[in-house]
Amino acid sequence: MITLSASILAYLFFPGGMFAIIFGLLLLGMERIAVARFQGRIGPPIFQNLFDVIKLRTKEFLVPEDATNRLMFIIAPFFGFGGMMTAIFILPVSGVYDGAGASSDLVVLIYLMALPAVSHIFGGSSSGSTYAAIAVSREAILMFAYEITFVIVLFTVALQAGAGDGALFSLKGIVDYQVRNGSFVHDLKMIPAFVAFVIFMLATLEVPPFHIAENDGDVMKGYYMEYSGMPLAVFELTHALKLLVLITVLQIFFMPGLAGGSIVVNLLWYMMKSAAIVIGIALVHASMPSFRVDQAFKFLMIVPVFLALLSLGLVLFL
Amino acid sequence: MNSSLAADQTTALVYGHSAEALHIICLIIFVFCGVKALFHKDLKKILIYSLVGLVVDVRSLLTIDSPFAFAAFLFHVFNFFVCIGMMYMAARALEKAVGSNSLDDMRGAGRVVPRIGIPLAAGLFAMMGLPPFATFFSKLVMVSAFIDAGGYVSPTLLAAGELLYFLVFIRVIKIVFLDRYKGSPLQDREWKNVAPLYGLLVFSVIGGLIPQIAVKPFLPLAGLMGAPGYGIPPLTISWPLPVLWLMAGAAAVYYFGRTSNKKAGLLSSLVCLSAMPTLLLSSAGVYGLSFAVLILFMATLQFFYSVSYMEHSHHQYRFYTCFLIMISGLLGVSLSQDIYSTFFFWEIMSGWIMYLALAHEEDAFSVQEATKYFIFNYLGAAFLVVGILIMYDVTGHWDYGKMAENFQYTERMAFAVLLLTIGFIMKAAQLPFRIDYWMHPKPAPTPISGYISSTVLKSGPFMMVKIFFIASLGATATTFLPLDLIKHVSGWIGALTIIMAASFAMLTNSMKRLLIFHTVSQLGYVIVGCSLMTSMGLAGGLLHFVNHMFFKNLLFLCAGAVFISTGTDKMDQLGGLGRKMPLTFICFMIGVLSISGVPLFSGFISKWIIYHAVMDTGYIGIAILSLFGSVLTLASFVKFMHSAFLGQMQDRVREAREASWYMLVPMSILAGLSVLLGIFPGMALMPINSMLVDFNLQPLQITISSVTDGVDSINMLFMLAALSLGMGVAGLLYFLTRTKTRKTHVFVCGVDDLTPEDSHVSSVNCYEDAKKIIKGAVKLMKKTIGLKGDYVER
Repeated sequence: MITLSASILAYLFFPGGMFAIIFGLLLLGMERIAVARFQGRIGPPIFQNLFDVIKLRTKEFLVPEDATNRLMFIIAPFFGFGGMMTAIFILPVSGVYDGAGASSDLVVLIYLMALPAVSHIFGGSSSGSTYAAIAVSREAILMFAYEITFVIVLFTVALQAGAGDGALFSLKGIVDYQVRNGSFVHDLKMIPAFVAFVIFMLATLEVPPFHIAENDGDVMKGYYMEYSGMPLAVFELTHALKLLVLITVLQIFFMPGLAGGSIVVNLLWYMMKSAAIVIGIALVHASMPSFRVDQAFKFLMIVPVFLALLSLGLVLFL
Repeated sequence: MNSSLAADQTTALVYGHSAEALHIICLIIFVFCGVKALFHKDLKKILIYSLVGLVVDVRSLLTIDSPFAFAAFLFHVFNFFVCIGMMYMAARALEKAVGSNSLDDMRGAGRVVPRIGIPLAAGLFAMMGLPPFATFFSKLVMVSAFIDAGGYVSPTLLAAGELLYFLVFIRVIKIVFLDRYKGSPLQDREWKNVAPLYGLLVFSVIGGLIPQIAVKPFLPLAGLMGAPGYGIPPLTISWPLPVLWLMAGAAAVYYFGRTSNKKAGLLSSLVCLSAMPTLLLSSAGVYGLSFAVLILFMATLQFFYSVSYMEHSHHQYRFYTCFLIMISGLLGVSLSQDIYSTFFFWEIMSGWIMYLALAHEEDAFSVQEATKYFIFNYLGAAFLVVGILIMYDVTGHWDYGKMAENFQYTERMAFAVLLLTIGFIMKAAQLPFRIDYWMHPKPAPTPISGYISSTVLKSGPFMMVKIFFIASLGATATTFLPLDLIKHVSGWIGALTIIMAASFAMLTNSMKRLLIFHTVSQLGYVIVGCSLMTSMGLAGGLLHFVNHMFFKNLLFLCAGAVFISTGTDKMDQLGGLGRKMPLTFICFMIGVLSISGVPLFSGFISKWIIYHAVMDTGYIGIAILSLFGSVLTLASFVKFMHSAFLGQMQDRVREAREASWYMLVPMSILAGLSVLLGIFPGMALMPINSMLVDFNLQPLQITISSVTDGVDSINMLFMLAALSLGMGVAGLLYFLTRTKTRKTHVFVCGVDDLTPEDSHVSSVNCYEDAKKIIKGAVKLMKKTIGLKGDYVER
């Protein structure tokens, strides 16, 4: 009973749920400020994304008359939100939280992380908008391109953490291994995989240079186009959670080092690392123009895949 | 002394040379006659040429030193003469009826004059060596004689060489029976005039049903001529009761189902359902029985669906009959306890009955594709027959259990296992060389396409597991290497097929073709899992085996419903169907989510187990390929979903109506099962666990909803709780806001002259860059391996 209620608390408040959403929204706000500063602007207040969500609460919900399937249009945001809530729930935070249940497994993670994209595809596709349809096509093709990188990086990490004794799929096990033997980011063999993963992360978050599927310039926010009111807010929350999930996965895979023995210190360390990663993302965001979809596809199929395979080869044969 | 030795040597040399020369001459005659028959225009001459060619081919039996080779030769030649005699008379009768001896004038004539046509068609199928004709057995005995003499390369070549003559006969069938007749009306013969033909036909079929008696006279005959035959393998088929029941049911459907399609369909469905209790009497073991239950269950749904689907077709009873007999063959494969009966039923399942069912629509495209598939199946069976007979020759038993006990690992045995694996993998349409040539045909009626995809092709992995099990029992540590290699290679073949088939699916624009490509791709997962032969691998493979049955058939049925409702198979002509067919759309979505392996749907857990098994065994390459395959799967189904069901509504779809209840009921049952097995995989894993025990493997640690592999475990109820809690939170947010909902039109930047066609992103416009890469890869392969032909949309 106690474990159940502890799980529910972990799911709804900390480190999942409430905490994750607010922290994710703050990270988004921080990213916006950082981009603005890099570009010589002042930028919005750090709470801007939180305000946006609160404001959307009061807006009316427009359902397109031409939507091919209204039910699907309405429930599409749920998939991604549920998936991200679950993902953040099962991900361990080193020194703070062990990750829920026994299901904290890499294979599950792959499928959970695909859910926001699935949600975009379902929502955009069912809205009946042409812009959304183009965005869906682009999202699917990008997913096709970046997922292969993720899969290879994931196996590289699992093999490295297995330390010559097969692959280790447990997220907790990967964290523990690195806490014992040093973070992978210090390991030269893993550097290419690290770079590949960062590229994967940028592509998944659709930050320039991969700002293609929901580009304001040509497809007008793509699959979000017909959304308004609460469903849009749910998408916004999903995006915040997705950012946090990716950052957490990056930390689990490559830099789960501890800062001390206490939970509070470790939590602060985790938040600081996250903020630093977000600022890194913002730097790329501010300094890069966007690819065209075919360029992005080619880039993703060649550069990160090659880097990830390089790491995999090094792990396997060295 | 010396001189006599030299004389002996000279004689031996002369004999040797002349034997060799004879061989070469016979080979030339064999090929010459085959080619001549393949292109000749006169039906009678075709028959004569093929008889000469085949007898010359069989002649090589006389050169080998085997106790029953001569008897086998006599038996086989006798059967040939019976068939050719029957066909020759029928051909003459047909010639008289048509008034010309040219094949071109006989186009489709065989069906107009059924009394002459039936013996001719039966003879042609008999010459191919398919059951239930005596030639099936004489061919088996012949190959057996070769193997008994110790060879194994020559029988393989012999079996493959018959493919040439197979092409001859299939050409005649295509022209005389499956074309449309355009000439003047024909006069069929009186029954009494064709009686001798039927006498010969009955003779051939009796020889096929009781071969052990039919072969008897030839043993003393061979004795009289100085080569007494003994040691012919026992030729008794065990007929499981459910198979007989289904065959009787097929006869009943043929007889009673002529009046209405509905009656025939429901009767067939009932036959399959009522065959289930008879399974209780069978003693096939949990592995075979579970497969048999699934076979009958799927067949019941399939016939129920066909009631509505086949409504606008023709001669439905004929289709149902062929379909039922095909299913009985599959059932026989699953229930047989000896490999000989298995092969017999295998040939019923993938023989001429299947061909007739697949070519049911009778347009040129259906016939062409069905023929291609038939040829491919025949080739696969040619590998099987040699493999099976070598296994018999080494172990001395047909029975699986005894075969496993007497298994000796020799070079020949490794060759046999290799041949069997090739045959079974080919049935599953694997082998990554241009799978689009040998997938099962698209233009066949959807119920049978769905059934072949979901159930019949599973006979490949089903038998593969059985053979691997027997082989691994007989193998000791030192002899394990070849078996390991075979398993290794088949695992890689599976993994490559996953990627290749899924990439082809990205290219295609046809609904059914996309689904068939994905069948091949998903079977790759089954092959990968099963070829590992570890607890986890086998469990994952078999679980995917079951899951794939449900979701793939579901997708086929949805595609069929769309086809019936809109009349097109091309995805780019569809769009916005989700509005017109909401229930079909929901079922379809469940299918898509299952096949892409989204958590809570059935494909997920089986893939999870397979990935773990693959990684536990250390195949990183296979693991990466198979994981990437599931991304490709999702991508190609997104294309399908968007361009057919969502997006802008196209003109063609405006008149579409929701599928009938006959279609929706099977679809919703399958959809329900896909969700149920996704959350409670234990329901299927519990029987699989007992199979694992039968296969001498460690059972998995499972509960009704969870699986554990070492330190990793997954609990679907936990996933369900977590995901639905998240979705519940989102729903609660919706509910709490309670703002107004308003309906508007989509925003199009003020453009008002766009037709739905302009603004719909159809399947041909999706994934242009990915398609470019895939086409490039196909071209590269074409250059490096030298295979001909680009990807062609059919």
